[in-house]
Amino acid sequence: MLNYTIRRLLIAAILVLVVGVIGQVAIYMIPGDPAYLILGAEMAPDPVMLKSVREELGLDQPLYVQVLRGLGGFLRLDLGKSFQDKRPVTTLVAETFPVSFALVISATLFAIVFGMTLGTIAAIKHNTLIDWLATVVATLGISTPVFVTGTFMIYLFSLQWRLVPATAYASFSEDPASFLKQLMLPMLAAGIAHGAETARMTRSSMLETLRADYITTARSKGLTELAVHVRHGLRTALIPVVAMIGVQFGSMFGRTVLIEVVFNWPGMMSTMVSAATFHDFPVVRGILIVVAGAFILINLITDLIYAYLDPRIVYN
Amino acid sequence: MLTRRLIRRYLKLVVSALVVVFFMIVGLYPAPFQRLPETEMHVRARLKGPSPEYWFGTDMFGRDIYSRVVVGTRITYTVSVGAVLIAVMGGVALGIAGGLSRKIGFGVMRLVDILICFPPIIIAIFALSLMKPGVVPLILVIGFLYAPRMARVVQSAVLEVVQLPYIEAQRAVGTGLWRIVRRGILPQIMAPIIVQATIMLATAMLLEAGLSFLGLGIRPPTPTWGALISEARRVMHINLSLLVFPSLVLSANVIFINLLGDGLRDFLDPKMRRAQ
Repeated sequence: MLNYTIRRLLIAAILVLVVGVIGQVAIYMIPGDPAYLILGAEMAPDPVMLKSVREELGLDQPLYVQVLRGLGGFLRLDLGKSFQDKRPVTTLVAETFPVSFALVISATLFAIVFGMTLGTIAAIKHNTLIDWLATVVATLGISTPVFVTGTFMIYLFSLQWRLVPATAYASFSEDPASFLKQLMLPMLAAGIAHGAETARMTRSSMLETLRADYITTARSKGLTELAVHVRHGLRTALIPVVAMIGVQFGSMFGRTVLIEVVFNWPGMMSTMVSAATFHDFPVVRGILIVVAGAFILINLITDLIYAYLDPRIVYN
Repeated sequence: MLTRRLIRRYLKLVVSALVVVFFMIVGLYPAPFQRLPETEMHVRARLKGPSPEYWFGTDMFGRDIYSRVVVGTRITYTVSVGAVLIAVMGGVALGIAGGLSRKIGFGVMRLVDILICFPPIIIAIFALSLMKPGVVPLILVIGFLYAPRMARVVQSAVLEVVQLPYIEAQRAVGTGLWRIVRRGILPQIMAPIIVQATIMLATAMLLEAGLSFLGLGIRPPTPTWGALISEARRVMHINLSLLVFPSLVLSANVIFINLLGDGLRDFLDPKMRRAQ
């Protein structure tokens, strides 16, 4: 187990470095002059601006110098400066990351609880009205884009029923109660969409497990249906679901982008979107690197947890 | 004969195929389905609900939402189908190469496994921040983002097919590589490619809608569904039509395309297995 952990840590560290390198050279992967692309291919930028952008980003240096500079800055936690207001990208990330983090964590937790409950109930009440209803809800949840669900929820909860303020935002340090209240809607919107997928998976995994022989044994021992389903069925059924949760974290990040924009949540993702709209390249690149790093870290943690739960993984 | 079993087996496929083909026809020739020009503003009839004259109501400039949704079908399908075509071409090429050569295959598998989990929308935002907004950049970005997924599916299919005796027989007789690929491998892997492409079509549609919603995809006044939903947010306290109808059409499309993918998979799989 220790060997496996060390191996995975090393791979993760290498991946983070690779991500840093890719962040530096990514702009060259898109055809066209980088300075020209950054300034926005819509208008024709004048040569003075092009030159200043090149100098600022170091684009006139040879490639290996750029990569080394980028990596050096990266290790010093320096991700460049925003074009719009000259603030360091790292500061911007530090300000907005906790906001996104709160949303991602709460939405994922909600999705897990919601999805597993819905899926388990659907599996236990297989082929009944409840199963059919749950499947319909899950299918709708998957097919409706998350920004549509979010917008509808704003309409219902903020505009029609006036339960929650629509767009006022108070940070956690200023007003914890208000922050948590505002977290509800985005968490629900993101969580339901994500939970629908989890529900479908839990349901099929549970259905498969319930067909196993040891379940029949448990029943014939005279255990209550609850004990059979929860104590014996659920534990085994959950193993593939837990594995999928780590893999699905990526899609939660994607959803967070849309949710933050819909609910005007000042997180890292909406910052990335507005930076992209204004062609503020250092910010976009910096946030991409941070997201990739977070992604690698989360995958590492879930891999280790899964290896702990299922020791067969380690020996592969 | 139209036995009940036959109908039940193919109902999902036929119905969803008809619906999707219908939408594609609307996309190809929106004009006959439109009732009014989509950019025509009827200033006195702004933000009205559905009525016999404006089937889906009007938006904040008095434009007919129904006609805008119809025109949006063309753009949405252009982007989605275009992106899927690029993904299929790139993915098939990469997948076949990976399936035939163990070294390439190993590299491709690892790379693709990492890339697949990462949310495509974030990479798309990064790429689109460097491009002019428009249909072609969107098609290219989405297509390139989905090619790895297709490559993975193709590669595992190729690995399966390559084991078959008749491929070995062809090699033993001395058939050229290209001919083996064209006559022996490609026909056998068509089924998973078609199914995967259909599923990708739905995902590409959602991605395009999301990017247009964010303002990074197709820019207004071009009426793509995602952009319409984005516009709706500003006026939904007055009139919900701009939010409801594009959303319904988008969801319906995604659901039916997914059903089509399911139906195709059921249709193609047992047939393939019987053919072997």
